[in-house]
Amino acid sequence: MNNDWFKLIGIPVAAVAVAGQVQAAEYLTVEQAQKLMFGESASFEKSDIKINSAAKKAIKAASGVKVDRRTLPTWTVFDGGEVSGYFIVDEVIGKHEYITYALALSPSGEVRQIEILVYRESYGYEIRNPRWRAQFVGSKPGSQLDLGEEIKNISGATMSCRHITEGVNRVLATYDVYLKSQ
Amino acid sequence: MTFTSKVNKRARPLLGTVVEIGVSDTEAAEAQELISESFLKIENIERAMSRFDKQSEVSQINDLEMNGSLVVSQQLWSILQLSEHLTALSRGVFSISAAQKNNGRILKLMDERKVCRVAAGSIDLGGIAKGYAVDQAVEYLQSQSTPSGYVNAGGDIRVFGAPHPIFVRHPLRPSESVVSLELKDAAFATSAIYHDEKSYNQSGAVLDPRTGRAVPFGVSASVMAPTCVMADALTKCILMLKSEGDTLLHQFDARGFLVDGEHVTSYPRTEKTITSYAN
Repeated sequence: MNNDWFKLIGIPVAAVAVAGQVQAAEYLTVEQAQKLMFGESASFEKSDIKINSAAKKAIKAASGVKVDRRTLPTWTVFDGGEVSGYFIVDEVIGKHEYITYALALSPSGEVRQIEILVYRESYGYEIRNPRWRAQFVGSKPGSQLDLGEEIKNISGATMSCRHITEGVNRVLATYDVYLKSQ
Repeated sequence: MTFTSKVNKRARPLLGTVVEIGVSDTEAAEAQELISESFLKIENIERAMSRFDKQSEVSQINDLEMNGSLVVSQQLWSILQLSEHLTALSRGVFSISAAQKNNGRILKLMDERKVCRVAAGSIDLGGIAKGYAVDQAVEYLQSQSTPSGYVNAGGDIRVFGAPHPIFVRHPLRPSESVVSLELKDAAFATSAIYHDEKSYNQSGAVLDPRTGRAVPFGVSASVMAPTCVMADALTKCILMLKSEGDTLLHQFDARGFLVDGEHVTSYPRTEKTITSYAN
């Protein structure tokens, strides 16, 4: 048994202490998510929720989550002349990640499906470092170096979906205030 | 060439993390269908194993009275059998018993998928469920003749078909990668505590069930194995057993490494195992 199945990468701290490089994974566009979650025959009417300050307080009280944005991008979904649900695009910001996700709600406010649209992680400093990038050179003959694809499989990431759970609770509290009575 | 083909991929919040499923070399509509089905498999496993859902099979087991018994699903049965096997092989390092002090087993596996409570305490399949779910999703994709793809549950990953590059974070400086490797038709998992020492002390430490003590901060263990459930379970064995875990790795056709401060030690141990990568 030898140990050449992995390569060691040593990066001096100074070289990576540069600001702002972000790695992102894009999964679905809004349109793709809409079709996937409600089917080809559904139609979508943009009906954004504008959250006023009284509602902000009520939503915070009900969900325990602070409301940062005044507008929640929302679509009322119609299928066969009936309201078949709501499609909502929300964002959550964690310590190291920034996630945009879509939520499919039934007309009565049950969560039908959650799909992540974009996941950005604020660690990806490595990709600015030439030594780190050099790891890829020649590793795949004839292939284009696509950093967006290459850097996604990072083992040991403690990715948490806690912030998404909080976001969903906040959206459901927003539903109660604005959509439930419709 | 497979590398340039489009990968259809999606991600959902599941199993307490973000689960990403990717399928390549497959027509887009079919790929999306395969991905949806794979997520469904994972959701079913999550539902059965949740400790927090009072209706789940695991909750029903935890609610059993002393000597009470329950017939479980085939799925849960195979996980309980695998867990028992691992506990025996790892001399208690791997354990599904959430009660740390309990050396004895909480459940006795009877015949015909029947389990019986033999001691107080509760089970927690958190250490095995994620890997198991990844394996189930991958095996489903393979059963549908998908040429190439991967399932990544927050860093516990299994790939098939085309190879995938993997990077392992430094346990103390998460913006740095310590190790890179290429994974092909195999699974890979890392166990460690990342981020700052403060949050480590507050929460999710990896505990040694034999002592109830936390594994030291700044140490991570990674394992490559044929299945994700084995890779995940074996990371915990390496963290606690160190070189005693060699036998286990051999047995499961696995290999791994431990990152401790500025040193990387590969397992099973060979004459050339400790490498300083600093500078």
